[in-house]
Amino acid sequence: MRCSLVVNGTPVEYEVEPRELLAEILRDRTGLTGTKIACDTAQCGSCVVELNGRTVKSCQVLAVSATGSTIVTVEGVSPATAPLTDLQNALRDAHAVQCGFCTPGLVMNLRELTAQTPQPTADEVREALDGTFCRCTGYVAVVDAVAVPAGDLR
Amino acid sequence: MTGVLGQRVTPRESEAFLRGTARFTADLTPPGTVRLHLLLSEHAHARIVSIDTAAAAAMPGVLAVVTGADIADKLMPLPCIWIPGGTESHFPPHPYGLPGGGPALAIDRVRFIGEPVVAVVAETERQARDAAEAVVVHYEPLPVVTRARDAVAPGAPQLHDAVPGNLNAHWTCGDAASTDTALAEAEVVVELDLINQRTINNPLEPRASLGEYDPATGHYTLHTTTQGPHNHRFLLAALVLGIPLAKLRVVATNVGGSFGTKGYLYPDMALVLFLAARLGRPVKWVDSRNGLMRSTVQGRDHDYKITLGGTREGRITALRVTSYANLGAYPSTIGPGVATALMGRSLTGPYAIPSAFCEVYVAFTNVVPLGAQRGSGRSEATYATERAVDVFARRIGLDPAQVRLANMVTPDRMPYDNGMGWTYDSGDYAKALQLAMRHADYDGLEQRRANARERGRLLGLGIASYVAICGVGPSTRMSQEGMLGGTWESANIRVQPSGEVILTIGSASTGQSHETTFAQIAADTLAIPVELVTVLHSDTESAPYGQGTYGSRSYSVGGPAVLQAALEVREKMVKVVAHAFGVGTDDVQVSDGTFSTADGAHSMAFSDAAIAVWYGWNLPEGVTPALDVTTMFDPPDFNYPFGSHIVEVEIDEHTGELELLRYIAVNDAGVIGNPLVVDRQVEGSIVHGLGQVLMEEARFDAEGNLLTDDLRSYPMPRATDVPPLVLDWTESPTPHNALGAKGAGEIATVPPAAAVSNAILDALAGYGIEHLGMPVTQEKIWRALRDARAGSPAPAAVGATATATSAEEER
Amino acid sequence: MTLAPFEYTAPADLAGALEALARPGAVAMAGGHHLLTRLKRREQVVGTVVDLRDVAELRGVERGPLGTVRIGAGTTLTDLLDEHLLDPPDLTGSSRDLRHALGEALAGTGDRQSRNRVTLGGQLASGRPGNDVATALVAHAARATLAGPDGTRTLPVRDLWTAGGAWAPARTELIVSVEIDPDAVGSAHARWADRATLEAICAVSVVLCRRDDGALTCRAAAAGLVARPVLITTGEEPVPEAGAPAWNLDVAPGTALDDYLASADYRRFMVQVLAGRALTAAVRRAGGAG
Repeated sequence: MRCSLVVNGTPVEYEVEPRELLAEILRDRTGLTGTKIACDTAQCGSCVVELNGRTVKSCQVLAVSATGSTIVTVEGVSPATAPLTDLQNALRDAHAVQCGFCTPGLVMNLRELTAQTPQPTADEVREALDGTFCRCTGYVAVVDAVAVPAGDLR
Repeated sequence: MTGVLGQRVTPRESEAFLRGTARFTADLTPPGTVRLHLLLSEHAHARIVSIDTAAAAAMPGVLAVVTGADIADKLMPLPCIWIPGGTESHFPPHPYGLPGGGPALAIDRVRFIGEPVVAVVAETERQARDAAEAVVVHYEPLPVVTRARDAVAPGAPQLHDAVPGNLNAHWTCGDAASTDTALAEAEVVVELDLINQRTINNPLEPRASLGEYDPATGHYTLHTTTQGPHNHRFLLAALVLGIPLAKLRVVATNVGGSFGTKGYLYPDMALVLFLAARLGRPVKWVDSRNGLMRSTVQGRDHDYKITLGGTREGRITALRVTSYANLGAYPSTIGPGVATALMGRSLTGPYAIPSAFCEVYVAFTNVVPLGAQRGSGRSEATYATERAVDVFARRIGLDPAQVRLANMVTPDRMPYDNGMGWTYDSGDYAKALQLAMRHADYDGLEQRRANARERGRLLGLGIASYVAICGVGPSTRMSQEGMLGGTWESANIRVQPSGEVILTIGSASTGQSHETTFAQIAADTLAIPVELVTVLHSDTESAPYGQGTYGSRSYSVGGPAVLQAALEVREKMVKVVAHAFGVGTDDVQVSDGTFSTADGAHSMAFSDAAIAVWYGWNLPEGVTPALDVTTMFDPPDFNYPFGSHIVEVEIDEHTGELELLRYIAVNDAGVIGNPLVVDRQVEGSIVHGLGQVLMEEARFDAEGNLLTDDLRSYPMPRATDVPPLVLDWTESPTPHNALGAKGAGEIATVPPAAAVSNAILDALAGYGIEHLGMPVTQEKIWRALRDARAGSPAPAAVGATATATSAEEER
Repeated sequence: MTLAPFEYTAPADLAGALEALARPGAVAMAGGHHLLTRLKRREQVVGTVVDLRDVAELRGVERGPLGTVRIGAGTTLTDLLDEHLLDPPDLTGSSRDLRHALGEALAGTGDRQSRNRVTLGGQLASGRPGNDVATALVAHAARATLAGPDGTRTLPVRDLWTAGGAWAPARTELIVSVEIDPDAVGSAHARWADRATLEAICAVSVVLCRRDDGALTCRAAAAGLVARPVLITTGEEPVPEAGAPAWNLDVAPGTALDDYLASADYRRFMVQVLAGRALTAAVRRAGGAG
């Protein structure tokens, strides 16, 4: 069956089996391996991408069901040689990136959070992180990177 | 020195991770790659009667369907290289006489659910998986045993012909006679039956292996998720595949977390190489989460009794532990050592205990093989000892902090032989605890407790003090411990004609930011910007020497090797520069990328010196035109980071709901190279440790099914579970390496189970509840409170009974 | 993670969807979130996946002339959260102001990404009937409209599951919409969640209505006692000045949930606790017990 997508601004089209997952198409056909697959049950969040303006677990979407959609993956957040975004820089400076495996999903998750809530509180960041697991950092650095300290909220 | 060592340098590795361009093993797909799917055993213990692969082999895209019998004469069993030292032990066999583990594919018997039985290779993963459905395996089920204690009991099902009574070893350390005497004479004796439950590390990245074979050269390449590529190369080539070592290259690209699990040999590693050669195509295998949870080594799993004896004034005089350790169905690469020495020798913790003894019955059972889990052995030891110390303090009516302080080894006794096999190197244990107590406002505890009471809340504070053996280790000593391998580390520095430096290390990063931290050592010594140092690692071709990353050894064993190499390079360059200046070597100083004389008359940039050596013009006598130094560092002994953690909790006495108010962690890892990296590792370690005490458990049913086999049933800490953390440090350099550095990567996973348990039990102390087993759930707390109010004080949940008896009463 | 193969169709409208569902082995897929986990873990076998993505009749949220709220079953939980449906029309507040049971239940469901995909119909048909959203809807005495081969019918949301927790409608029927009458003057939702799945182990929604004589009456539903959400009050009981109404926590013999997450005893206990918390919050929102 046909799956037509716009991925990071580029139109692509593939012949897919109904059972193929959007995450698999992105990784195997488009070659954008930044999106990861890691948990079977759509809990870990390493597969998070933006689909039609909303973040989703791309391992939990059938590719054929996503046909006609616009996708942004982590590679599309800041194109190859462009500078990192403020969010990415903040995560790096706080050293919220250890093994790096959760990082793409985390970036996509928090990108949506900070777009909707530009100055999230620590609690808002923690709640948002329900969608993406990290086993290395304990989340402390992530919250440090993204949350606005209570006293600084404007 | 540039002073960059010791600075909070932002890791350079982060950018590629943030962009999503960093490659992990599953991201690699060379042209022509085919996919391997492993059909796993559905029975925990069974004879394989027959395997019918004909239908599967005929399915679309299928290139091979292979059973254990097909390759029995081609692949040897995966070896185990850690024999519990100093005692009789029994292992399944290996053709070369060393301990064997399991075969890559089960041959006539399966011994755990999750053991690979059939290998299916097809053009795509879907085709391989579909074909696996068509394989028919006839099993004849055998009786199953899942608990270590049951496995060594008479009448238990026998797993291995070569292992009578399923007993791998009865390992001991310490002095049984003096300990038993001391316990018999003690004024107060405390005894606890504890379970340190099995847990699953669950790094985020599932394991993956990619095997390639080049028929033109006969050369194999394995890309795999490993924290020890050199070990895997040696073991796979020499002891599994039987191919020349020179023909195998092992590479770990980026590895997404490991925490111990990816340091082991697994069947897929051998199979992808074997099949790549047979099929003439690269063969790739990627695990699922469910696969990982069912077949990657699991951790902890001690069923143990701790007996502590002491005086009524609070002196600990004796400590004895008997444990049943569960190795699972096969000995993993270093499983037996994890279950014995790392736990047993660590039991005295920071205390000067005159008599101590530990025995571990190491047993095979029909569950997933055991391996290291972050803080392995030390965490299990600390849990037992720190719980016992708290129960002891309460029994004699003394403050738990004071009891600890009074028993701690004092700095003037260093180096301190703990009587169990470790010799502590340096440290002021009491100072760390006192610092933690200040952060915890220990003096205000009773007031806070009273305030909480008014709100219907039970407030509790728990302490866990630990000493963690790290920096594995002195090779000769490790051989005595039973390790079949070296545990040194190496570094190589090559200065390029441009002045750039290539540093090659033997460690493998699985998230520890090695590329940054080790660059700092070299840059600091050579007085050049850290950006000029490129770090190579995790590829046995470009980094030929190494022992891998585990046991918190990279910085404290690998780091000194880097330092030594940098010093030798610097010394050679100074010689060349001095000769060019026409001065003595003592007159040349190095700073800010420049060699100069004190009077300023001469100066030469580092890069100019580098190219001068390259050209070979006007070199002093005996100096060759190459700046290339390889060093090896075999530490004289282990090193011993330590610390004290304090946790404060509140419990709703009506519902059992638990809130962690604050977590204070004072640690000491000697001289730290990159405090930013280490601080963040400590935070991650603490949160990982909270998982075991609050929510994690690998549960099996009586048939050996893993009930917690995906993330729906295996909770792990989330951001909303993390309490406010306060980190602080003391610094006690180790004398065992020139950096003064101790291990740090896993140390903070050692105390959380004990600290949080102690806090919860402190909160419940008023009800006479003496112990609750892990994970300490809301319902366990509620039930214990309810039973206590009803007048029947705990025994609380499974595996947690505490009896504190006074020896006097017994007489 | 490979799924077993299946057929796929994405009908253009409700009639097409119903026709496709009539085929043996056909299963409806809304967001697909719950279905895909079962397919990946091989807990369900499917012949044809009928994708509801293009079925416009399932979309839309509107408030009728008498204030009844009608929510299309194809509305995602995120969209529903953004709608502020049950707020009084004159209530102003930030998008995070969730002052009612349904809003709190929605916010507690899953994570951002799953809420962006899971639809209201999908959540009800998720296979885990004791979920927060279902509980809040039962407390609201909400009604579900189903379409099937024999036409449409409406039934109380609480009858969407059998006593044993099985999905009661026929395999060939689809939820089209859910309706809620605007009779609540205050409501609240309290939950105790499983750390692994973030789903409720126990949850209680309390919805308060005001009688003509000014007294508050209480309709409360609980998840976690048995397989499906159940009312623990009839809805007629007035709220006492102090304390709580007598919650009916009795369950039919053999139906009490009892598992590794929580024993039957503790579930019963926690439902009581949560009911008290939800009641207190609902009373405060209603402006006092009256």
